Amino acid sequence: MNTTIFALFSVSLLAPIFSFDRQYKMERILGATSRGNKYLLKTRFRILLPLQALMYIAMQVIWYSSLSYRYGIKNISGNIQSLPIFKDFPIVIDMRVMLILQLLTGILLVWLFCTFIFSISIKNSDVIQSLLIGTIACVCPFILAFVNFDLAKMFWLGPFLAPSLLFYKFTWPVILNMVVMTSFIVLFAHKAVKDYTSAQV
Amino acid sequence: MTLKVENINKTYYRRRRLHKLRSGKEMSSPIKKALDSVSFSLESGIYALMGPNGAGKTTLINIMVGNLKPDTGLVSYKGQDIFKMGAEYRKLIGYMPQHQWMYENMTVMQFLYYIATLKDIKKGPGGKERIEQVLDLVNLTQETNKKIGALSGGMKQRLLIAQAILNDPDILILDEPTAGVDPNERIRIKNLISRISFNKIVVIATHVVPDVEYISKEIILLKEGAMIHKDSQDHLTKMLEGKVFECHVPVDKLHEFEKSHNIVSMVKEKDIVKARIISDYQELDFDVKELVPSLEDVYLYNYRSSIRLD
Repeated sequence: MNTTIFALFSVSLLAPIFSFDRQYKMERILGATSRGNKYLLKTRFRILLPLQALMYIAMQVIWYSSLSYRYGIKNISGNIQSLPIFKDFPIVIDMRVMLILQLLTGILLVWLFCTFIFSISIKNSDVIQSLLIGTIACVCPFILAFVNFDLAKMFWLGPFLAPSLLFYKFTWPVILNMVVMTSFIVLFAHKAVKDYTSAQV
Repeated sequence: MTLKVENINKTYYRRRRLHKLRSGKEMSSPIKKALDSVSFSLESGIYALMGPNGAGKTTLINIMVGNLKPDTGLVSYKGQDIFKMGAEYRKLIGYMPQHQWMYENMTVMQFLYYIATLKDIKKGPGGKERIEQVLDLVNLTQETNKKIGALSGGMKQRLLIAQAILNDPDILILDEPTAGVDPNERIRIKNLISRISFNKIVVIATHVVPDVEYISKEIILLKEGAMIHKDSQDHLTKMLEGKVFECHVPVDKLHEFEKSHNIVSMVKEKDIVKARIISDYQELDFDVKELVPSLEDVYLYNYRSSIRLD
């Protein structure tokens, strides 16, 4: 739930960025400046992706702190397999490593998710439309949850919004969904960036 | 300082619908050939790029700015391909688009600061000084804190010019700089362009003849994507000598006369109409007086078929 709120916040922050330029038909003016076009795109990515990662880390730290406050930190150096949900996890690591691993995976998935929202923003010339599409992408797992809760956790952007799933729901459908979704996002982003930078406004 | 346009071709294609060629290969079907082997070279001075709507002015301008790639051909500045120069070329240009769209919620000052950042104009007092200088030049000093959405059409045009000249460009490209403004503002903008054009290549795309009359070094005439003339105003008007007449036409014969002649203007005086016409041959049926051709006559002569269709 907290990652979904984070995702919705990311949508509200990222979705309007490029659509705003296009809504006001600024591409030609921006494209004719020395730091417009590719440079502007790179700068926006360079600022916003680390910002998103920092926000995600902050959110996770708050989450872990609240858990440790409520349940205490006991046996944090114990093997991850000692926890029932991780009993089938194939690699023997302690819980601290697992937390770091989850955090790093989470950052990577947050970046992929942000790239997806950025691409929507680049492709759309209407801020409201970009916000709506981004929001629908975020709430899709909830709609799927009405049909089948496991399906919601495994498909579409579900694992992107709850990265820890990848570790205790380490099943082939989840992995396949990740591969498909990642390929889709990478291709979609590649097309969007190519359109934006190919000097065809 | 030479900007060269060599053999530029640009065709727009339908994006989705494909049609099969005889060879079986699928191709997007062309919608329009926007530019057809356009070549010219520009030195410092004001150049007017003229032609009716759809002649290819905006396409050519977008290519010269670097916002659109041509299908074939080369645009070079000081011998270097502008698309290879990239940001280095964009540092040297100022561009004002045809439309008046800008971020409506930004104030004039915020907008110019944003553009200054994108144009790599140094932050701090130097940048602020330049913005104030430009605002003074375009007479917008009183409007710095006004939201762009609250500006009049003329003010928006001047703000667009301001953002274009912010980096003191070598090449200034203006697409319809006086579109949608009243005659007073039109004259103000025309004078402003003359004032800022010193030691620059200034290209003004327009179909409004008085906007470029007397201020342009050369006039480039585009028709259906092809360049039909590139010459000084004097030479262009000289080419029309012996083709512009004033005919005294009786009122009852005016209807017939209108059908068969290119009339530039008409004035009714009692029972006759004094009509300014452009004709390849001298009219013998009426009382005729030869006139000195103007740039407007040149425009009408070259685009008469387009004008009749309009």
